[in-house]
Amino acid sequence: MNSRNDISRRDMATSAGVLAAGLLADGLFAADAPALAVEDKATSIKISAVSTIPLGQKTLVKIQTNHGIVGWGEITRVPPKPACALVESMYELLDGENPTRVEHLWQKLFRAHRDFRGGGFMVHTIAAIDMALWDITGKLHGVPVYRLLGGPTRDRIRVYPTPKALKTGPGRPFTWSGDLYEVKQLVARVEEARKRVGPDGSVMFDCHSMLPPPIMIQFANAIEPYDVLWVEEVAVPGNLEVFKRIKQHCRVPVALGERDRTIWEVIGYLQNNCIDILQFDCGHDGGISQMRKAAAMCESYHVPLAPHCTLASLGQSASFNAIASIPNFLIHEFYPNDLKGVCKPTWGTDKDFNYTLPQSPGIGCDIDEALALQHSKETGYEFKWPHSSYPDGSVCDY
Amino acid sequence: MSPIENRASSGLSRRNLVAAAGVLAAGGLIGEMVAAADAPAIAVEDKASSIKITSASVIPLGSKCLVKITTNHGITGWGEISQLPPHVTVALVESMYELLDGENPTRVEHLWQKLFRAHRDFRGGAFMVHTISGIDMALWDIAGKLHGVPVYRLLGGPTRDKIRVYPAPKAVKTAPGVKPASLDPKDVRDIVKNVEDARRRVGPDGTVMFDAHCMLPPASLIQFANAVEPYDLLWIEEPACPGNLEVFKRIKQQVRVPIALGERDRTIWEVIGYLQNGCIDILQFDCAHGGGISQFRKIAALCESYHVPMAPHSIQTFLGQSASFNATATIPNFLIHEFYPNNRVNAVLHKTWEVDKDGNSSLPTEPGLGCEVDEPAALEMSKKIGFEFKWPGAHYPDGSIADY
Repeated sequence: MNSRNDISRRDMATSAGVLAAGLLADGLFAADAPALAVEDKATSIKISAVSTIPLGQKTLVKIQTNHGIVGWGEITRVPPKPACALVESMYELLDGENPTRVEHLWQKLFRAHRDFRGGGFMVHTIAAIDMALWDITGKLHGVPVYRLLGGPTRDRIRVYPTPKALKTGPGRPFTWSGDLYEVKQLVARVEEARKRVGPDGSVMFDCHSMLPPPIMIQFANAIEPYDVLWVEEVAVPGNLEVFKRIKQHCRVPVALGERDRTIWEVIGYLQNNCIDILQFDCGHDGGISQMRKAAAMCESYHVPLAPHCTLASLGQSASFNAIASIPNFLIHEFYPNDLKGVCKPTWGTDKDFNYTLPQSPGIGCDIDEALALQHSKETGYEFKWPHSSYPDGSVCDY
Repeated sequence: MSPIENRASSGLSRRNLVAAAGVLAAGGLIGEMVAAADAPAIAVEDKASSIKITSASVIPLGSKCLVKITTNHGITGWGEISQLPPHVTVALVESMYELLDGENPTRVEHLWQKLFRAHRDFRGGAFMVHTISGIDMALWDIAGKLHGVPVYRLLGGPTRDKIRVYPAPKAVKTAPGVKPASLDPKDVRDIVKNVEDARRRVGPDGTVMFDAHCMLPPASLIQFANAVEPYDLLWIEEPACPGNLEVFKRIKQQVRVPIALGERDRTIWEVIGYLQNGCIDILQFDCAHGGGISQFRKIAALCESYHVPMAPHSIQTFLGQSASFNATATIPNFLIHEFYPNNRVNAVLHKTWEVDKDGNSSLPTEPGLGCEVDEPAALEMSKKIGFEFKWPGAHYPDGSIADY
């Protein structure tokens, strides 16, 4: 089935609505089609292939089924060769499975090997597979994924950066020492951002784990007059006591989460009252399935989600679908990146940078596979480890 | 071929010579190999040292990959990357070599940091840390060989003469022995019987350990732990799946048998929480899972300050076992070391330590890790089993996914 036919088929499904199960029956089996939406054992849809298209920092995952429905997900940031090798290896766990059993397959992948629960390589890969499975499920049922997640809780999604919502940061890593002169330079950056957005705009500050705790605490107290929405990534994840210490000394709201994967790496911050805002990243932290669970945990702690996102339009669509369905949302990070024309999202923006919800079945972003393959030939395996160091040559966080 | 390369090709005899001549002889060796008469400086002055990493490669052997790091001075280091799917291991090492190329391999701490902190999104996790662990072992192997001493000589020297291992005639570990399931108290009784049998086998002066292997739900684990108090267990291992400290606090509050865990808790960052919250009595760091010799040493220090001994977990080959023994040899807070001799990869490895009939191992005796790889044999074995891998997976009788 070529992708052009795909689109028109899906358009038809959208207009006909969910009850147009005739489509499903057409794709799958006989007149008693509704059952296949709820009865996994009665469903004949099966995963028939998984493949990857490396595009440097982003690797696209394509999951095919025996019924022509195809799902796409985005592996972000993993070096492309290990990303492809991982997907190839993990296919053993997906082959022949029913792709609509998204939760079961998430568990099957995450818990398949007792030694590999969690970690960036594992969870970024699972996140992409999760997106692709939801994409298939939405397409099978003929609805955007948020319809399967309890339905939309809002009409539009507020994003940043925009002229009225700006994020600034330290600009460079700070060494363990630092003096008040340097703190003043940081404060000047916040002041400058506040001037640009005006008194009714939003200013955020991303420490990016580059400020050691003593500097971070002095800085956070110095910027109180500028009404910052949050200070972000106040320290490198790893020791909750560090976050407790910062939180006790800092009255500006604290946001983090882009490197805290799955519910298991989020729960500690909530239990210890270390955060005010969770910046879950759909591509880093476990996909739509984990985003929904993390949101529910946060809801019970009165913590909103302000999703982190450096994903391309495909991952962005996945994140938008999850956000569309949760009650505790603040603002979504967004940097346009359609992978040089590969992604065709079905959402857009108004003049105030509020985004519409995805409009088509699945996660709402079509992929131009031919173009992706062409780009892949040119830049597919481009990757460089960032690696950052202090002026004295020692390794630093960034 | 330079004299240096000549020496390297007759590697084993060269090392025997060095070992016999002792540490001070190493000065001469190094000087000859690396720089001029003022040789001692190269041991402390990295900038003066001309040793550089020239390649890293992997010999896939199923779930045990050997990583080989070569240098411009003919010294080669070996490490073990454990458990990962071999295709992924090969791709990872190939990718990370970018960070090692041309570096001084004796800057082990710096290179550990460089790898672990190279990409902000990939700190930690098994794929990253198991790979770094293998590289860390290989770097220590090189450093020991360069200085002509076993690695433990570089880590503050040996704190003990021998290393107690299990399983041994007087130290056995038992387990639930059931499929993972929600348990009824009557099932708990069957598991208690396993402990009773093990105690009978080792006698009253033997050691019995119990590995819950994350297979018992907390409620059952607590019932079980209280029921086995009369059998004097050394520890209950892995009482729950890592992830939420509150679970471990809850278990610890209700269990008086000592709690051991750590084989899946990587680096100091995943260990510190258990210590801060009083969740563990014994730490089972695994040298190949948790970050290599470098992390082993740091974690042992953290544990020392909490009065927690190390009982290293190990399902490694002789190579990883040698690395773990080198670290164990140098720490003050050691309890007992896991050791299984029957890994198929051991056929291509030559260790320099022996376990006696009572289950005490001697310390490694050769420079470096004290375990040599028979490379041609390893390559031969790789042709047959190199890329064998299967994801284990486990499920409950109702088809849902289980931890195991």
